[in-house]
Amino acid sequence: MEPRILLTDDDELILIAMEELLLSEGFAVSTASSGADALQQAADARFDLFVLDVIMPGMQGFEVCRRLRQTPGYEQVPIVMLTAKSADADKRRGLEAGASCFLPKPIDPARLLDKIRQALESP
Amino acid sequence: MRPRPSPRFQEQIKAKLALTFVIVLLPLLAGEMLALHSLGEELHEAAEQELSNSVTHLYTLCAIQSHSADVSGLNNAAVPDSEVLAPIQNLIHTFHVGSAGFAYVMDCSGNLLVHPAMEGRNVAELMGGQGSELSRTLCEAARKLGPGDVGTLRLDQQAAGGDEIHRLVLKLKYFERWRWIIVAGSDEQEVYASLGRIEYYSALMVGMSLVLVVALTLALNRIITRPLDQVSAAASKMAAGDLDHSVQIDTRDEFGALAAAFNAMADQVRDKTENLENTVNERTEALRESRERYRSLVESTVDAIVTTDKHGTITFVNKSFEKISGYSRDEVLGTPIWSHYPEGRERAVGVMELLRTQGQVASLEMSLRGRDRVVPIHTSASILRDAQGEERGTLGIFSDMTARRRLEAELAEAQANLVQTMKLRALGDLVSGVAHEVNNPLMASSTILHVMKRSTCKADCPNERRLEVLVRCNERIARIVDHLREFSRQAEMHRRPISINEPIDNALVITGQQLLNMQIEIRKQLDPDLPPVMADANHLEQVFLDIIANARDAMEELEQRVLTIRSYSCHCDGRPSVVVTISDTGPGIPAEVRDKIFEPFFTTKEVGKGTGLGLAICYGIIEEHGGTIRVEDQPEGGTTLRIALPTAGSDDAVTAEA
Repeated sequence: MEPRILLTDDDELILIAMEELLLSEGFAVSTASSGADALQQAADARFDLFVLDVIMPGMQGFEVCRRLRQTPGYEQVPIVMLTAKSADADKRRGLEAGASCFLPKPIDPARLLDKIRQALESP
Repeated sequence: MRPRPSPRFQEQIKAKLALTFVIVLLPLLAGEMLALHSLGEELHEAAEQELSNSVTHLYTLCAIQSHSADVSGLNNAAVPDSEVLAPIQNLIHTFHVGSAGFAYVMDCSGNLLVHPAMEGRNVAELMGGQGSELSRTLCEAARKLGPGDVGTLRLDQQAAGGDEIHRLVLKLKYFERWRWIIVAGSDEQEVYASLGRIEYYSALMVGMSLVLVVALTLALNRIITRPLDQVSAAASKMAAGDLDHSVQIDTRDEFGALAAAFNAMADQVRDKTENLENTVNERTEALRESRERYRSLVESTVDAIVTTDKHGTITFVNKSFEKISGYSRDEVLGTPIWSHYPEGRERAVGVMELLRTQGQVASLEMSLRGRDRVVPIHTSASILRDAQGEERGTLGIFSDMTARRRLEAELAEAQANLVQTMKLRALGDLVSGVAHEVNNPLMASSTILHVMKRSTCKADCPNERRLEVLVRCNERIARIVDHLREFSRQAEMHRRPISINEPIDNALVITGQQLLNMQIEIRKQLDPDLPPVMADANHLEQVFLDIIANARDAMEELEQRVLTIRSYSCHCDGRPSVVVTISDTGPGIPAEVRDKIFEPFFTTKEVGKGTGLGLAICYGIIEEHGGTIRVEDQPEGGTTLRIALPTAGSDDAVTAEA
């Protein structure tokens, strides 16, 4: 069974594009346009990986990440965070919140796929 | 004032007093003389009248006796008998007018019928021819008289036994019945003798009056002038400064009052003088304090204060003038003010004209020729006038503007830097926002393209080329965004002491192949022993990459392509620095755009080739490092960019971040 990935971003274009990319690579993809939406879906269904945008209206990516980690069953699930800010401080905050890796936008599609595969394969 | 002696004033008073008495006395004397004269006349008349009366009296008596003789019938004869005669004789014998009056009865023959002394004798017999003459004259005069008339005769008669001639006044009457001549006479001098006595006493009185008047004058003089003398003497002493002298007059008259008033005045003057002395002392002290205050004010003020006379010759300078000009007071006093103006006399004349038209000038920008340098000054000046409003000279206040000028220059530079920095900050914020916003659609676009390329074009198809164009578009957009992000991320630096050669070499490594491909000759002249600079190596590498890229682009269409990179250390911009110059052999930068090349979005490149941010980023980075970047003139053409950074040890080097 293909891995299930939940994409969370407030930008619809990003959601659609990444959905296209991941679908074309054979992943099962769901999308959420806000942090609250993402947490809801995470509770409703089982996902193998989360892609989280940091800057979103309402609940920020860091907070969603922290809550996912507190959700039973998701303690170890890979969480890839995307941000337009590449500052070290942001990166540190993301890792502290429990992110598996922290990628700057814009990210090359091939590189993103590599990172996702790596994250899924790692124990 | 000098005391004025006053004897003249006393003389005047004496003279006035004397004159007063003379004026009073003269009419008095004249009146007396007149009175005496009329008195003499009256006496004379009275004497004659008395004689006339006596004659008339005798006549009446004769008439009465003659009548009574008739009645008694005693005597009808022409010659009365002794009984009738007796009362007449008795009257004549006792007759007395004055001391020399006499009366007698005589007939025309000269017989003295009744006479006090020589009765019964004849005049002729007594007096000789003179007697006959007398009796005839008397007889003639008497016979002419009417019964009521009294005749008058004046005779000069020589006294018996003497030469003295007496004038006699005779009054006569003719008693016809008895043919008697009744005579009463008197020596005229006898009449006047009494008058003479009166005159004598009068003269005596006048003389005594004169003496009295003189004595009175002298006494009055003494009474009036002595106190005046005293007052005058006291006034003189007072005028001479002796204020303790008072006038000793204890009389209760006007002089006493005058003396009292004078003494009161003297007291008052003394009090006033003492007060005045105290006031003068106080004022003098106040004046001295005020002067001292002004002196210290003038001497301690920072501004130079100069006064000149009306010819422009310096009459006073304060300490600050010495300090600002470097000349001592003795050196400048007496010199013309314009000799201290580098602009010379014309400038001084110009200032004077301004002063005369405007009354004063304020903050006029001028220069002062000091001993060692020309000092920029602000001049404020005004015309000095005396109490009559006459121009006496000028007062000038010079403010040394050296420090101010330096501060102004520094401020202008700081402001320019601040403006530049703020411009860059604002731009950074803007650019960061733009980059962020562009990022998402760009990423979405790239992702979709990636998917499309992978899924649709497994074989050769027309869309593949088209997709490739879109990919390249995205790549260019991504590069611009990168640049923008780079620009906005300047603040984030990680500095460490490095050799400037390190980022240069790195940049050359990155661009080396490209430059070789373009047949650009690289001339590297790097000093291996440079002092370190405190810098972010990546940022500096970015700077060199950008400048090298610009040089490369500039030489693209030229035959000779040489890129020269030099580094050296020097003491420039007032501190130990490391300098890097990067020169190309391109067409150079036109002078008119040289100022703009560091401004963001300024580019000379074709559209699409440059973002216009490269040198702006470089400028920002070098600024952040406390260094300078500028275009240098190159006489032989081409462009040289010069970058100078302070060495790590120097004060201006930005210290390493903690």
